[in-house]
Amino acid sequence: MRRYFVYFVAILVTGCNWADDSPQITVACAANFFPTLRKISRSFEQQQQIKIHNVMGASGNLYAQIKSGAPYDIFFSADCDYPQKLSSDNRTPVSYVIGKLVLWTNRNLPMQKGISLLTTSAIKTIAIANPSYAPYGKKSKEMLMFYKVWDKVQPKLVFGKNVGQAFQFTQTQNADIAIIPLALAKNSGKYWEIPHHSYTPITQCYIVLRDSTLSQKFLSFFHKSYHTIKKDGYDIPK
Amino acid sequence: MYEWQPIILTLQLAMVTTVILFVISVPIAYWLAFSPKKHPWVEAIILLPLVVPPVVLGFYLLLAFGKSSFLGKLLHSITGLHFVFTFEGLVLASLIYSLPFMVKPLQSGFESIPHRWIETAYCLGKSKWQTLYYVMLPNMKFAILSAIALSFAHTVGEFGVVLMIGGSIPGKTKVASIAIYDAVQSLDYSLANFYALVLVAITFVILLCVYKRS
Repeated sequence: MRRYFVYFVAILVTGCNWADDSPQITVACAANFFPTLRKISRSFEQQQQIKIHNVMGASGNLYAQIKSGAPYDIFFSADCDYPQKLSSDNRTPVSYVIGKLVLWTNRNLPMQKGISLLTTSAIKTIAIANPSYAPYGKKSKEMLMFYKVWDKVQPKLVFGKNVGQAFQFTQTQNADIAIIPLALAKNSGKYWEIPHHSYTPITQCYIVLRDSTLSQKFLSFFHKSYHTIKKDGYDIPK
Repeated sequence: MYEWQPIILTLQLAMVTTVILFVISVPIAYWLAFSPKKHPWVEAIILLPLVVPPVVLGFYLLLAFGKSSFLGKLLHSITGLHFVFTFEGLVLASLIYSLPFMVKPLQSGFESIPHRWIETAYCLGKSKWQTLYYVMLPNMKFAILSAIALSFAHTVGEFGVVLMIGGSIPGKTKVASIAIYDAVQSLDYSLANFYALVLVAITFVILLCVYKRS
């Protein structure tokens, strides 16, 4: 028994030493765009023999990590504010997609009613991303203020730490409806696209943190993948 | 000025949880300590919240006690309470989350009492309840104190579970740890520092008191 334990520990210890010298870059990405970025990264890897490490997190978390020296090559944020804060003389943010807000549910609700549905008694709980920091949360609040229903719906609101959690609250039917990006809503349930004039465009930016031929290669591939990006529910900025 | 509400909410949550937990845990610990058989299954289940990552615990509580789940509906029909996005829900989750921190010290407290004291009490005609109240509990004061302090402090520090089932509603489920997270996320580091400092101070004083009295 003890001998097996020693073998086991030995395997664990030596297993950590599988150093990988193949070319690789690390890309940090906001939660909402992560599924799309991962798809693009996988097809890039197949084509190019370059390893892409995708790190997912809330934009604010990733920003704080980068500030403390996290070794990311590119940072895909869910807005342009965080990249702006990281910009310097030789690095500037680039907008890569424009997100769209939708109302989403997997319950049987008359979605065609749109925003007016939120104030009816059929809706008891509305899940949104936290407006005090999550980019899509901020836009949700802006949109609700535009329709002058913010004060009315406020007692119904619950806050997810990001759009993913707002989605999850509703998917598990603990909230009745969620305000999330189209990209998350597409694959299940029912959604209603919120008119674009009710919020300022949700432009998402990336910023290159460590310039190299590898990251340039990846970015040029990324910009050619607009089919995948559009299919996932984003617009491409002009 | 800084909001004190999350701190107060955290203390309320920890207080309520600790009191309820103590009442539940004394019989469990008593049973585990004095049962003639060993109960490895029960012991393992009680220790489970210690090893399961809090976020995972929170997620499965969300599924198990959610509004559309069987248990959630049952709870709602009996008590009229919803589990998710409410203070009561946080209490229930904290009970599960902090259970090992109450039961384990109490159990070892019971086990540390010499058998002949208990037998002496029985021989002098005391009932089981009287023995528990007059002989056992007073002689395991330190165990009780550390059980209470540990569960209290552990509930104060609770984050992952609350994150998953709370919904960050001010005054209801936005406890201090969530407020810290929110503040860090909005890059308001001074607010985060303030909450963190208050939390550390409170829990430190509690632990200090416990170890000074022992």
